[in-house]
Amino acid sequence: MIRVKKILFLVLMLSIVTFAFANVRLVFWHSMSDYQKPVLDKLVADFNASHPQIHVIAIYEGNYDQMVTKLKTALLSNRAPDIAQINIEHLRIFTANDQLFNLSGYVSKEPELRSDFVDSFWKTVVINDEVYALPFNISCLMFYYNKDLFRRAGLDPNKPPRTWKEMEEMAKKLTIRNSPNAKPSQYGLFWGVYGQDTAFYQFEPLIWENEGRVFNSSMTKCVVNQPPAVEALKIWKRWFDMGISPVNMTYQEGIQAFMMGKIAMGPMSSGGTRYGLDNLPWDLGVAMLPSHKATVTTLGGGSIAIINGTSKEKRDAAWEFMKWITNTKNTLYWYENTGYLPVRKSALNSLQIRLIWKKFPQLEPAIKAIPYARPRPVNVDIIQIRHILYTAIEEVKHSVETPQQAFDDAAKKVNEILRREKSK
Amino acid sequence: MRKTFLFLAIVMFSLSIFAQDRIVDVKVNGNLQTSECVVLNLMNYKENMKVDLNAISKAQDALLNSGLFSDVYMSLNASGSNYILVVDLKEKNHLFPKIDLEKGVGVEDDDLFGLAIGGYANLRFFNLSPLEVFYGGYSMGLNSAHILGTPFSFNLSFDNSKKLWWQRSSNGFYYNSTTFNVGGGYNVANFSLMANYIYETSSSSNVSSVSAISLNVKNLPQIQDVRTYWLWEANIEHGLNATYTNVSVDIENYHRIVMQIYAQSRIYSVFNMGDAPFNRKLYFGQSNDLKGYDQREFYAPFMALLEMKLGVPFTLSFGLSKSFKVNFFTPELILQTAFISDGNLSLENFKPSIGFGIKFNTPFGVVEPEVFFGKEFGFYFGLK
Repeated sequence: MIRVKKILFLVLMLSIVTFAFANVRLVFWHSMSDYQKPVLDKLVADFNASHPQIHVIAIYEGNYDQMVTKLKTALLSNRAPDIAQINIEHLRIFTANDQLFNLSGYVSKEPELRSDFVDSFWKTVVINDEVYALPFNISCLMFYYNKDLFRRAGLDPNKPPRTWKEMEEMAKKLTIRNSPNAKPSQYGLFWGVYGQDTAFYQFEPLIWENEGRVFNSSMTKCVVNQPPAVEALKIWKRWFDMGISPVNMTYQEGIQAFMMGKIAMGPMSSGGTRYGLDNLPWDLGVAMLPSHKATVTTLGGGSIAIINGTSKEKRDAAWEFMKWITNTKNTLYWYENTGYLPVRKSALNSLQIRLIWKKFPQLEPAIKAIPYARPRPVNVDIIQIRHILYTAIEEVKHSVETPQQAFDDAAKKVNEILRREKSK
Repeated sequence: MRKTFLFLAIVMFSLSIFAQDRIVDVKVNGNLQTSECVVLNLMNYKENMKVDLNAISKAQDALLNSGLFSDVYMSLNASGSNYILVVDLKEKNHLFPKIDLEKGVGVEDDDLFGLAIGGYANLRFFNLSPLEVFYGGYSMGLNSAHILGTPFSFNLSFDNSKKLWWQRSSNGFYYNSTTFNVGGGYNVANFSLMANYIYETSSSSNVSSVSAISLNVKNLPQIQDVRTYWLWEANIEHGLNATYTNVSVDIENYHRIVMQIYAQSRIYSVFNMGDAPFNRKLYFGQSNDLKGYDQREFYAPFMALLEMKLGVPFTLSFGLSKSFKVNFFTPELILQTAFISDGNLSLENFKPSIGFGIKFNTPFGVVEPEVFFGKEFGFYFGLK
């Protein structure tokens, strides 16, 4: 009996020792919920299975904005994770306080790794010539449309609008009223702008496509009140005034209405393509954003960074994980199952991506949009700035202010923030 | 002129023989159990085949649809002016448990010796409806939907069942049965054809042994994330030493309504023609057709079953599922109505049943407990 107890004790001790010392345990905070989470969980499980010395624990910590708040709090209380998924627009918030580990040393040892990342995606993780993250879940804004509603309206479901003018014309045909003065039972367009996480994301390409800008090139002045941006806002407002787009719908309500087939088209992140294909009860079409004076779309999404202050052993393990999860095969798995763009050039040129397009042709347009995708301007106070800009366009939508007044006021507030930053 | 023509013909012939962009080799990785020849056969790889995206896509689908692999990743490596196709595989778990109300409890390995041949063995010792424990015999078999990855299929099974329940209108009785089945078939496009020879003995039949042949045709399910798909299967069996012919047709439709919520409908019809011994009659009333009624209660010359299911998949955290990958449990409402023909058309011929089940996705497979209310209350359980 004593012998059995001894053996059991030894087995128990061995298990504890194995768990405690054999593995480098990495805590990975991320913002991937709903349909993205199981895909990420599968990748993490595969990594753990293929790397017995490293164990990654993936924890969902809310959306991108919530991640910023939680990470700031955790850093203050020394309870930060080892790795975090950070929106590419929020990297500067943490690099400004030296809270992210500088990866340039790792990158310089593997030049072929750097050269395989898509250049425009790589630029989003380079701050002052130093690398602070690896691009992971990069997306761009795409134009989603309901092919079934196109067919019912007599439109060709394989010819989505290519210009703002065509979009307006099609939206008129796709807007259905039961009587001439009645509220539409179906809207042609919903160019909704999200006001919370990644606020203003859907509006920036309208300014860019009208050859306008939000900031000057050195990010020291907000120029959103200049004519091209104001004109873009006027055109956007016109879509509501024409009755082709619903005024009193929040972004989330608009997405729900689109899902239920009550709205025919609108811009949404490429990261939602697979969600649409898996859940919509109708035929989904995905295309480039309709052009105006220029053809542009917005680059968004997240990156993976190592939090400063972790041990070298953990940093090495984290670097191994970051390289693995963004490698050609895994970035394609992530793309196929979510719609986020593959981050490697080798993935864009692979056989597998062509096989994916055969199964899910709606995933292909986002790849063709990459040359037109522009990263959003970034700043340490970008969350506050975006909320100011979002509030301005909402006031225009509800006719509280004119486009010029709204952007004048917004530019004044944003410039005040930029001045304060400069004086720090 | 003739020389020029001959020269051009030789040049064209040479170009066609030594054309570039061909797959000169296939490198298979990750097949820890499944043999490489099975993989190559499933892919329908021909030496020096042209790089054709459609053919490669079909090869990838064939590997995924074989049920042997969960991940198939393909890439092309340059080899001079030609290519080597690299296939990275992740094998599924091949060994899993089986629980079936009729056939008992057992194990199945769907890739014995890595040859894409499945083998199973079951032991009958319990019945959940009504609850009883007994020795009920055993069954075992070998089968393959694609022997060594080829389009050929086969089936070999032996079933020794004891204490099978047969319902008569006045009273029921138990009987023992031994069945031997051997068959071979061929898969073409998305269809499977199979011919079987059946030999069955029964302890309580007026015919002590029956020999029969059967022909089965069905469409092969494709792994695709589609909103709607159809499955169908038809079977005809003809007695060799008894004058009977049975025909059954099974048609099933799946339709995803919105999100992961789905409706599933099924029509299953059987024809019992001639004078079949009772143990070869097609019947209703057991775990895979009309539930909520006695086992093998109905065996009329013509019967049809209509089944409608509505399923709402949920995640582990009780949220509505937004991807089939996060489905954890799926409550299903099931309505069944069987039409049992006795030559008249009256309400008595319709046998309704209503059921409620929950499918649980577990690491061991899909666990399906169900309750049905028909003529009587019935509890059913399956592990697939």
